[in-house]
Amino acid sequence: MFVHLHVHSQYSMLDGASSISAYLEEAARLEMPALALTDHNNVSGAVEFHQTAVKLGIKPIQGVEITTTDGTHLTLLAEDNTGYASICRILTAGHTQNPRGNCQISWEILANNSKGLIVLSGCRRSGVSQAVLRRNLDQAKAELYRLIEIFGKDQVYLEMVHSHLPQTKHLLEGLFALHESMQIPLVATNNVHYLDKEAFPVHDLLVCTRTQTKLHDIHPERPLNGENYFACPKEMARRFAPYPQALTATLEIAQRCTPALELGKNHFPRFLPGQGQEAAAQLLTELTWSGARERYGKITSGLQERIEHELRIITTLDVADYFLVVWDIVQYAHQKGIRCAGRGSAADSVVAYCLGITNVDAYARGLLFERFLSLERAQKPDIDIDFDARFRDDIADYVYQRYGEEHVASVCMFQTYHARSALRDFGRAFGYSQAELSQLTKNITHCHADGIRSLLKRLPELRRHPLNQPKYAKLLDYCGAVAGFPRHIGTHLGGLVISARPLTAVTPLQPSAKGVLITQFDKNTIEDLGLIKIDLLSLRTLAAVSDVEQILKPRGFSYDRIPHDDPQTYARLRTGETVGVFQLESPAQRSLQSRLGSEAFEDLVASVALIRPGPIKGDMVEPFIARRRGLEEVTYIHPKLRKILEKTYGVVLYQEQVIEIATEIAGFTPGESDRLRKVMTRFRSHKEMESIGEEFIAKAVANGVEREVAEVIFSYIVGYAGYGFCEAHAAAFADTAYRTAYLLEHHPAQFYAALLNQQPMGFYPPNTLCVQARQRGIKILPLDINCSEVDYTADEHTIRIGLKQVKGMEQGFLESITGERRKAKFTSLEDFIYRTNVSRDVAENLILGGAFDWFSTNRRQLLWCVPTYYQNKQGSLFMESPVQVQVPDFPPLERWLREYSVLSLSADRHVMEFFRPKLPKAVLSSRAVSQRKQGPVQVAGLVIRPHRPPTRSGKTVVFLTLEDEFGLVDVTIFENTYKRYGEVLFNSPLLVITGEISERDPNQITTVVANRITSLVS
Amino acid sequence: MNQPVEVVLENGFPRRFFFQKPFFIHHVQECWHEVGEWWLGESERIIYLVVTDYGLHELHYIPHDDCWLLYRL
Repeated sequence: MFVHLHVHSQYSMLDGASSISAYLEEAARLEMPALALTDHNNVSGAVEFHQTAVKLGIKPIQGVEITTTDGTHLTLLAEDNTGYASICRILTAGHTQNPRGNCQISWEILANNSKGLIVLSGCRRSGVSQAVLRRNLDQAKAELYRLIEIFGKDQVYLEMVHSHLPQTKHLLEGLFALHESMQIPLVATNNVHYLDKEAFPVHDLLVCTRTQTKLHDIHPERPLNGENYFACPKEMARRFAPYPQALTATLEIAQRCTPALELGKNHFPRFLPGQGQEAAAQLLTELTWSGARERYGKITSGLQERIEHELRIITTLDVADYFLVVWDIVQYAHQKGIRCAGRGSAADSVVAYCLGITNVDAYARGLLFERFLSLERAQKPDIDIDFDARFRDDIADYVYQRYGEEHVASVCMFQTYHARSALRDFGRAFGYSQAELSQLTKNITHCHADGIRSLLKRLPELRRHPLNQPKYAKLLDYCGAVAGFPRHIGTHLGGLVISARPLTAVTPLQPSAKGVLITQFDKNTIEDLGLIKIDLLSLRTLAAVSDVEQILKPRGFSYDRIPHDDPQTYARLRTGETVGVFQLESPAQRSLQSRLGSEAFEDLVASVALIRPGPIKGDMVEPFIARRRGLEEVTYIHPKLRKILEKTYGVVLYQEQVIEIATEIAGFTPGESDRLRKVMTRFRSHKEMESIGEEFIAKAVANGVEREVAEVIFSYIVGYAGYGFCEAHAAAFADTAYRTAYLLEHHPAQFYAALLNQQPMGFYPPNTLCVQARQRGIKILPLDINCSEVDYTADEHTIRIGLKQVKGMEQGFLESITGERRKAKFTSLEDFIYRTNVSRDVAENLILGGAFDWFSTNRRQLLWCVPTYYQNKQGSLFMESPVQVQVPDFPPLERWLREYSVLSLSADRHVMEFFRPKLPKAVLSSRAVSQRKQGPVQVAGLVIRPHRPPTRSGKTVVFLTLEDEFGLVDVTIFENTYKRYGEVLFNSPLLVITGEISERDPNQITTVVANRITSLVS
Repeated sequence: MNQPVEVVLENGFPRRFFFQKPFFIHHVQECWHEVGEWWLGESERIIYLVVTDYGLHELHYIPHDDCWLLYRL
């Protein structure tokens, strides 16, 4: 029998070509009692490895292959949790004491963190093997003595790898000689990098990607053969026939090691250092009641009961500290004037509302706390808070300061291989040119790397895609093999973990590109290690509303005091002209607003929940609209359902409603009901569903409900449980949605300017925002080197384009421009170039963007002068005059295109203005189309955001918006038309659409159903 | 050279080969496996560095085709 003790999984990023589960399944098939995981300089796979191994009855041995400061490799195995903690500290030091991406571990670090570790002398790149290969046995001995001194004699093994490479015989004989002379035990490994020989090409391609080489290039790290696979014990016995003790040693080591991870512990810190659970619970209680008095004024008995209920659960689960930590963060934000808002299921909590963490009154809305936290599920709480994007990092800094650098880290995330990244990396290794790679990835939408073939079959625009050629078949196979493999490690958008113990006892830390320390575990595994994540997210919408508030403050405006029931705001929403409104600006949402006839906050909460893949697939949208508008009767199969479903007109829309139904009808406790909801959402196997159904129906019958009625109610739950949306989250978003709609209605210029300043954000590009602003009578003032500020600026009726919009603009240039301008306005292009540090490229972009039109409207002429001015500025011996030749300006369309290419928008004209005169009269403008209620139409415009959301029927439907000089037209393209015109649809920026006005609903904003699509430009 | 050659084995290792004349192998000095240019369809080969009366030679065995090549004489 034999155990693999040196195995690289996909987490040895770009050096491991098989997954942890593939190895473990093979180990189980081969009846190996244990397995070690030894990825390069990380333990990111440790939790997955532990959990899967335990399930399969295999002992997991946690390990790592480290790189020392000599550049040599060493294999470390954790005997127990002490050893695992040593690995965490070693890796943290190696990552943090060296430039990012170049983890190197000094011998001193190893000497200080050697407890609980078994060390294998390493692969061919180890100090020992290198010395043997150089025939320097003295050096090899010295290396081994160093290992013995650091780790202790009983902890060191001589690692033998027999992978049929040149000099293998010599290497193994040398290692055997060392074993004989130094009495260090031998151990056999295969330095596994892939499951079987078939996976070797994938490994080779990954190595090419890592080393930035092409397949035909020679590189010392490229493997010579495919022998480092997960060899079976028989094969290992054959290779190590002369050294049977090396095989036996694998079992001895496996026996010495115990599973090193301690999962399920709670490492969250006490909010009051040195004090226990009771002190935290008491403080939380005090703060909650104080907040409740502030929020509600009078505490009714119902409210008191609800708060006490929540506090009881929070205390029982010992998570009061978590609430206090989050409360403290929010307090800090408030003190600093940083806008924030809690989202997600935390808004189901009245305690969170009283603490100011969320702005949703869970009590008034009747939201169920158990959707957030319950004794039965006893899960860790998860609170997500959005912060003004500009200051999110300041908030994180506060957390670091408050709890100490050693106790706080950002959660990592793995950038995994998807279709485009795999095609690019592997295509490059195959030696394809940049142009060919661009062709290969063109129109390949975001999908798994193993889904490219299905995409090629499914999408009409890919019918003649080069990837359909047989010569790329292998490339697609290799891409598919790395689907979901991590390519590199990054930083999670908002997740922070705070730990009572120094984090390096639980997870290695390493610097991210941004400079912050990140854990080596992502959000899916970090909590299993006992670390609770707090999501501090950045939301640009909050930055935009803070901007507007700042501008309007002198007029007494307060975002927090926006009236809750402004009829004009709802009227605006009903027009469907809501581009820019948080969560309600997509074509589907704009259409929904008009169809629903939104007139109250509840309509917005429902809207946020309705336009989601689940409700759309679950066919909840149409019945909801019909009932909301009184076109369909609202009925309740049982009187108890009225109270629960009244606000959604008898439709089960929210997850909280599923819980309430199970509680009311079947007498489940709220916690049990939420468990039921979770089981039904995640594990929808027929058998499991049947068994839950039986339990539900039996309990409902015992509760006095007729069996037939109970069965129908259960069928509702089955139908909707997986599709429902968290009401608390919808309500939290609806609050921001309403307020941004108010800003759009009453302060459009300031609001659009703020949105433009916070780009990229939202559904639509900047040009569409400008088109919409013009629709509202707002003049977009052009870029002007003397008048434009860094940001967009606005007054009641105008928006001035900001200098930062110019392509290539840098902070240093902006400072130089504004600094010089404070001294004196620029008098000419020459004056500008001489006085600022702006690069030539950016100066040219400023000209093309119109920043010097006040000086000369002939932009081409100005461009001609630029080289001379820069040459003169650099101190040319003879000051030259610019070329005196008069050159004509660019033709109008070219001038427009050049402006658009450097600004991503145009101040005064829409591209359609150039094409309109050439179009037949039959092609209508968006304005003309919007006035029609039925019949055939032809409309042309710039294509905005074509997308294919999931549909109820499962068929592909493309939605897009056509933008012209007058506004927007939403277009729906059903599958048959899409199949026919898909290629032109996704390859042409300007389209002419022939179709019919959709007559589905007279209240709906005008939508064209396409039946013919042609390109406007050849 | 990369020429096909007839090889006689003993205990799984090459013992002698015939290329214009017989070559007796005194010992196999080194043996390793190579994947070659797999992306061009080349299959794996096993390389033997052998010592004969005439010096050092490189024999390649290609398992996929079950054939021997004399790579270097």
